[in-house]
Amino acid sequence: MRSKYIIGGIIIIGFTVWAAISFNASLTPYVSIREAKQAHKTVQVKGERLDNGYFDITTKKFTFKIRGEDGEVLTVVYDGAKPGNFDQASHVVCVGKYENGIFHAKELLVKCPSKYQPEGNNS
Amino acid sequence: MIIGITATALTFIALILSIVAYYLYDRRREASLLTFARVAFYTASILIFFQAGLLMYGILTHHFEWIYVFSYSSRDLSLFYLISTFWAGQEGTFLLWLALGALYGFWIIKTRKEEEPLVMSFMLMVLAFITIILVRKNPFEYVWQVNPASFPPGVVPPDGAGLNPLLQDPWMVIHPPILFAGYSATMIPFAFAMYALIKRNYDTWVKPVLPFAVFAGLLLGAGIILGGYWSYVTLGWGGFWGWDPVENSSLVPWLFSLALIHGLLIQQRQGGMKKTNILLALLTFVFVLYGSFLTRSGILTDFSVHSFGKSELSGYLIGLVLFFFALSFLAYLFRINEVKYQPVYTDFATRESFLNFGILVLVLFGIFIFIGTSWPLISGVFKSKAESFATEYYNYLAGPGAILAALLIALAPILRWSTSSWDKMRSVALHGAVSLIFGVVVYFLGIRQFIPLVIMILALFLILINGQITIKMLRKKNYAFGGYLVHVGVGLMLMGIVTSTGYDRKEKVMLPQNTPQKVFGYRITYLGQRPGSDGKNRVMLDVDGHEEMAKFYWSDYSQAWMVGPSVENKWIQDLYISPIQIIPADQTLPQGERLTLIKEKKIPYKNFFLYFKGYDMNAHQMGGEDIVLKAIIDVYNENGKLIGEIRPGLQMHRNRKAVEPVTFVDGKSKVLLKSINVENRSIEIVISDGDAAKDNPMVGKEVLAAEVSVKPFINLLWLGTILMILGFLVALYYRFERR
Repeated sequence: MRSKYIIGGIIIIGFTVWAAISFNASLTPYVSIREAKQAHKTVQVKGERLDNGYFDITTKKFTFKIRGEDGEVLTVVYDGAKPGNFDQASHVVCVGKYENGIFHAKELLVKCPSKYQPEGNNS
Repeated sequence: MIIGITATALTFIALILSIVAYYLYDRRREASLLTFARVAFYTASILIFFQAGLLMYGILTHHFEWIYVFSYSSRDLSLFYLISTFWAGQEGTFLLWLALGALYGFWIIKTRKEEEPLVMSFMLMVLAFITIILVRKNPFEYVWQVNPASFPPGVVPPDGAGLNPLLQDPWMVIHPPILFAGYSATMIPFAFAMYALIKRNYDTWVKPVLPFAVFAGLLLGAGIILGGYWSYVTLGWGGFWGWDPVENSSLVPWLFSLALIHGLLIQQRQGGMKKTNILLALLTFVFVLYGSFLTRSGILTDFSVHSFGKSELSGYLIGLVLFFFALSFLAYLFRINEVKYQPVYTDFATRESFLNFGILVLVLFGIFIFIGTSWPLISGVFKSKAESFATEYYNYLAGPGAILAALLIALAPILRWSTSSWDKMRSVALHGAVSLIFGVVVYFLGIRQFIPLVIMILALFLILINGQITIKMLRKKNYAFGGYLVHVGVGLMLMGIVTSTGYDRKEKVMLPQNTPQKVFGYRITYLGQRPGSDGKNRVMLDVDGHEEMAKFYWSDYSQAWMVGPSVENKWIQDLYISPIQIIPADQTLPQGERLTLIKEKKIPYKNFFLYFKGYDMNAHQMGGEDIVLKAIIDVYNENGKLIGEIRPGLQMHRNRKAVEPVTFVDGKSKVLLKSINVENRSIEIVISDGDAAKDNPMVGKEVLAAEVSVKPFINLLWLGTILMILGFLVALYYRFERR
């Protein structure tokens, strides 16, 4: 009887501790571009899209520039495909790390102006 | 459209009348009240089916003056996708929920007379709430009522806004209805739990509710799996699961429904778990509502790749969640202390304690996914800035979660109910040995990391044990094997997930047109683009001699380039090719010199002279709309001697131009015809720098940039999902038959 509760308790505590550790490790705070340049860790930034970006055939990476609300400009290099609606985006959210003058993005989230969505489309 | 809107309003009234009558009947037991309640419910159902039929009719006959038809469909859609327009928008999915809820109502009236009054009144309460939302946002409203600024009254728009191209996929025709059937099915255990609380029937509700819990688990599971498969074959990001809020908000209730099924099994067997089961039934449903609030209210727009618009309905959705949350928890708190505690027997090595651990793992996993998905909201309340986190969080959780789950699923069947004993352990020694040997084999095949290796071993172990039981029972024609078959499916899914996501290989490649490239041992050739019959360009590929197709096209609707992968299923792995970008030939020259040539004039280039003679118009006329135009250019050396002729071409392909470069007389540089100016009788050409162009196969060719990946043994995952669904069906049949 007792051993069952001990095991159950271990599962709960173990899982919770493990979840808390994993959670802390994957937290990516939303910061301004100026802060991102000093952060030395994975952060999330949002900025106005400044160009259509460029997919480099040799490095196979996608490079573009954004400008944050603080006016700072950031060069972002994304190791992946150019998002399909990139050219229509007003803002881009990038998750990644700033190193040697370049923001290496692991994830991109493209924010499109809502006028492209037809009236009442929320699905 | 006044008939449609009236029908919605009348539905609400009929539902309220039915709820009240059912409730009064439950108090007073007057037969006339029951008759009234049923008649009111039948009336509501007829109205609901009428609205559903009307909406479908409007979609199929292009009634673009109705806001819903205008917003989600257009004339160019095939019948197939016109049907799926029905659930492309919120109002349609709510209507679908109502229609399914009405069907479930008939089912309850037919089969559960005993619990009917209260179960029905709670189910109808949910439907009534949804009807309020539909009254507020009605699919039958005229476009000029909703948006008078853009639509003159009385004028039917000639065409609709169209259906999101991502939804124009065969899997999208069946995925939403099944998932919604699952969502609405969680109403039934919820209503039974409320019945149990009000009637103080903490024991007798278990038997009738179990089949419905299995039913909800089946549909939610099937819906989630179909969604994952759709994502894999349509979206082209390479996976079937991305821990997106939309996915998580259906996964959490599914995990809770599975916990509920296991809890009910224990209670049916030996009476314990009373409080937990009621709580699980309530929570499963509350999580469904919470999920639809998260994904429909637009609250997560900054955190999800799904593009939700801001919705004017968030207030109603919050109301929906809070109302049923408050209702269930007040009822729970009022009654729960009087539930007589009956301990679940008992010792460690029993079937029930392992089932308990299993429930614990499912619930914990569900709760931590719930916390993660809600984190933007939680942190928004408690911290100054909303935080986000990487989805790796979920993967970290999934590893240990899978190990625990696999271990429990493997061992539970060899333990006895209520007697603590490991005596059957010896009978599975062989299974254990085989699994360990398998572990050694896969270690040498490349699975070297600890967690994946342990999952593989335990997965085989559980498959062998549960599979053996399944086969034994099947031989004896004992149809109670459904659960074991589900577990075999889960084991296969675990294996497939480990191999296909943990040990996939991917590479970004450049595929110059008509130039074979070796990628992961496959010979892949990019053949070019071909316009599809539906106006969407296909990317034609040749893989080891057979033709494959991916999609890459511009969508006006989404204002984006849409990508669809080519997925070639081989026995042991999938070859997954997802286009990234198509680089036109004139952009793949490294450094080139631009020259304008005027007809019949000698233009110097380096130590040559180029003389543009004219066009070779009838080069070849490829089928129908393709025209190839070639410029004839004579090349003279510095002494004025003719040393050669080049004919760079331009291919017109409907409205798309493609260049056909040629090699210059030096044998190294590429020459490309860039544009033609008829008025000035001139052409523009680009000659690339010789040495840079020499050995580069990409120069002057159209290049497809693509991500190519191989996903080993992903078929194990699909096979597992099929067995899991089959197992659920068997369990469902068994549970209903036995009742």
